[in-house]
Order: sequence, then structure tokens, then C-alpha cells
Amino acid sequence: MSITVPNVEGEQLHARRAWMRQWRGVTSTAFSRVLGIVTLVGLAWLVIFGLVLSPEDEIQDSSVRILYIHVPTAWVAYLAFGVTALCSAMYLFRPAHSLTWDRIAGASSEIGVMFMGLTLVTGALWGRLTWGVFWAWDARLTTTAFLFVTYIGYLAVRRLGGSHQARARRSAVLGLLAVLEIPLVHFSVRLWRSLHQEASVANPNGDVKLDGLMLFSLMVGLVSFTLLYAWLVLHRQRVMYLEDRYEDADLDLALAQRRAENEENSRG
Amino acid sequence: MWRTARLVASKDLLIEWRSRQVTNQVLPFAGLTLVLFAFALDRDDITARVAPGLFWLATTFSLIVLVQRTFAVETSDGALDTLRVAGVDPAGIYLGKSLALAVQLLVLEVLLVIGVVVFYASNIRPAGIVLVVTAGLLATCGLAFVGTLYGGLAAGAKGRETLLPLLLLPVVAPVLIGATRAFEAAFGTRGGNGIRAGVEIADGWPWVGMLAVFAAVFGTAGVLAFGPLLEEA
Amino acid sequence: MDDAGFIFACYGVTLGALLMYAGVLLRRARRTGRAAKHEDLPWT
Repeated sequence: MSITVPNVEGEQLHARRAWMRQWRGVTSTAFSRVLGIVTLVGLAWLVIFGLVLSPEDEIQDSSVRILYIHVPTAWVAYLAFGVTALCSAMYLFRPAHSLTWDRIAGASSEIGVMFMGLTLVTGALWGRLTWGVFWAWDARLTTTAFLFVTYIGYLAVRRLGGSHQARARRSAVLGLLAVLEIPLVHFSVRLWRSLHQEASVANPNGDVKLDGLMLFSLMVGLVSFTLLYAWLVLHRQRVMYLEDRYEDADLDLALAQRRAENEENSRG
Repeated sequence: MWRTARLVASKDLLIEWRSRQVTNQVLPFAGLTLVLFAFALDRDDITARVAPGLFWLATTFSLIVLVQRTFAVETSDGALDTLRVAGVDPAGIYLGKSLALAVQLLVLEVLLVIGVVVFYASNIRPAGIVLVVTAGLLATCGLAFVGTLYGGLAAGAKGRETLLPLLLLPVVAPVLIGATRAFEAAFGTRGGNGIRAGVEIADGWPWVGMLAVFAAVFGTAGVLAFGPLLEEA
Repeated sequence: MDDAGFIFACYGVTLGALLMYAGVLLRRARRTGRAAKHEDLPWT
């Protein structure tokens, strides 16, 4: 006869770990938690500096405050699409065709679309305050809008289905084609608008000069949004891994549970 | 590769010749869009000035239909898969389909030009004919290359047909801009709010250069990318 | 601060959208990761 000694301490430790795990996310690691906290602090700084502490611009008054948000979102949006293109190339041209590249590309594109949308919205609001119009047909704005639509198409293509490798290949090709297309669009729009030489209400080429505390606020915005981007891509990419690996398992689990229920009902 | 291209192109054109789907359905559609534009704009003085733009808009919309047609032919019987499994060079398939698409587009454009001259009372300056032909050819090549490439991506299985316009139209924008400006230079009109009322023919040639770059870039990209796109593991 | 409405709208929309997205992402992680064992995940 054998006696099983209950491992009380081990069980307690296991229970505590399980409780902790319930509060910490599945996709979190120590690094991502630190990153998240630093990001939140940065965003709080941004709000304080942007809304309260930084001075008003002489010419633009308070509309410059929007720039502390708008410029960082634009920067992150372009960064995100650069990362997507880079990871698409890495996926295609490395012989291993590791799906991690594909996941980072996909995560980055989704977050990029969001930041791009925010860029367009905040830019329109800023334009309304500064120039009086929500939109102007210049190369930069038009290219931004085109980039937005192109990557919405990219996201749609990612959802087409098929094997993970097929999805990765399709998206990677599309990601690289987008890199080809965007400069062409930019160039042709610039050439096009240079034909219209009359003085326009909006002079998008007049970049705003910032210095001192205003420049600092902008920097805070840039840094904290970049950190936020990194945090979002990290988690989104991990969620994608979970979805790829476990969505089938989840379905199987549900089916098995349903089957077990049916068996019990028919037996009892 | 070139032999494959020729074979594929002649196959596509033969199918089209036998079924007459483009001539019976797409050409009337394109003509209809010209008429509808006139209804929508409702300004006789404007239509002549915007005629180049409307022409290329009609062509672009017809391109979408043509691309869907060119790939529907393949996927209905799994013909593309058969070609791929048989080891046919995908670059050749790409060039062949692009060629067939370009031919169909050119036929469409010739008829549309006639339509534009008739409906919108625009006239092409005799000196501008070279510009029109060059710009038209280069733009058509660009459209065909891009259409075949993105068609390969979006063609076939369910849920993909509506994807094609979303993918294709942003990419086609440079062609639309360039070809319209070149045609405006050839027609001697300027639409929109330009300062000068007349346009010199020489103004059109930089746009032709851009169209050439577009066609070259996407032609090369298509030859390289079509193979990976066809593989559906 | 003139145009306070526009500015607060900007900050609110941007930060709100981003934080909401982050929240949805974490919730999705929890839901999809239910079937996963903590040790199997490549980042732990």
C-alpha cells in the first residue's frame, strides 16, 4: 500500500501562481510590463506638457497643441509601414520563411492603419484651425490617404484565408508592392499639384518651427508614441501567434465538450 | 518565357474572340459610363475640358471588369492550377495575360476615344496625335501589368471579387494622373482650375516619362512576383 | 486656450482610441490564450 503525501507547499505555490497569472495577461512578460508602464508615464507627460505646460505659439496660438499629437501619430504610422515592408522582405527572402516575420508585419500594419487614421483625423482638425480647411490636395496629405487605403486593402488580403504560409506569402508580396506604389503616387501627385501655381489657402509646405518647451513636448510625444507602438506590436504579434496556434484547438475543445454533453444527456 | 507568353496571350484572346464577352458587355458598359458622366456633370462647357479625365476614368473602371473577366476564365475550371502544376513558367503566364489584357484595353480605348470625340465635342489637335498614341500605349501597358498582378492576388475563390477594386484603384492613381495630363496636353484643353486655358503639347511629355517608369516598374515587379502569388499552399 | 474643443477632441479621440485598442487586445489575448499552457508559449 502506498501513501501519497500531499505536496501542500507546492500546491499553494501553484495556486498563487495561477492567481497571479489570472491578473497578468497571457501575452505579458516582465519586459512588456515595464514597457507598458514607461509608455503610460510618457503619455501622461505628453498630456501635461501638451495641454498645460507648454506655451502658446505666437502665430498659431493653441492649435500647435494638436501638433504634439499629430506629428507623433504620423511618425509612428510611417514607421509601422516601414516595419511591415521590412518584415515582408525578411519573410520572403530568408530561406527559413519564419512566420514570426509575417506576424510582426501583420501586427505592425494593423497598428499602422490605426495610427494613420488618427493622423488623418488630427491633421484635418489642425488644418481646420490653421488654414480653415479640413483637407488640401497636396502630395503629403494625398500620399497619406493613399497609404491608409492601401493598407486597409493589405489587412483585407490577410483575412483571405488558406494556410498560414499562403497568407504570409500573399501579404508579403503585397507589402512590398505597396513600397513600390507609394513613391509613385507621391511623385505623381507632387508633379500634378505643381501645375496649380496659384496661391492656395493652405500652404502645406510651410512647416512649423518649434523650439524650447514646445520642441520638448513634441519630443515627449514622439518618444511615448513610439514606445506605445512597440508595446502594441509586441502584444498584437503574440495574440496572432495564439490565434494561429490555438484557434483550431479552441474549436476542437468546444466540439469535444459539446460531444461529451450529448453523450451524458443520451445516457442519463 | 516569351513563347509561353505568346501562347497564353493567344489563348486568352481566342477565348475572348469566341465568347465576345468583352465586346458585348464591357464595351457597352464603358460607353454607358461616358453617357452617365455627361448626365452627372450637366454642363456642356465643362465636358469638353474634362474629357481626358472622364476617358481615363471610364477606362479605369472597365479595367476592373476586364481583370475579373481575365481571371474568371482561369479559375472556373482550375485552369491556373493546372498550368502551374504542369510546370509552365509563371512569368510567361503573367506576360501572356498582361498582353491579352492590354490588347483588350486598347480596343476599348480606341472606341472610347471615338465616344469622347462624339459625345463631348472635344477635338484632338493633329499635332497631338503622337502624344496621344504614346501616352495611351504606355498607360495601357501600365494598367495591364498592374491589373494582371493584382488580379492574380485577388482572383478566384469567394470573397475576393470585391477586393480587387480596393487593391487596384490606389495603385492605378499615378496612371490616371499622368495619362489625363498627357491627353489634356494633346487635346489642348485644361480642366479644373488651372491658370492657363491652353496647354502646350510639350507639357505632356514629362507625364509620358512617368507613365513609362510606372509600366517598367510594375512590369518587372509582376514578372518577379507572379510566381510566388500563384503558389497556394 | 482658444479652440479648446478641437484640442480636447484631438487628445481624447487619439488617446481614447489607442487605449481602447490596447484593452481589446489584452482581452483578446486572455480569451485566445485560454487553451494555452503557460510553459508552451515561446515568450515565457
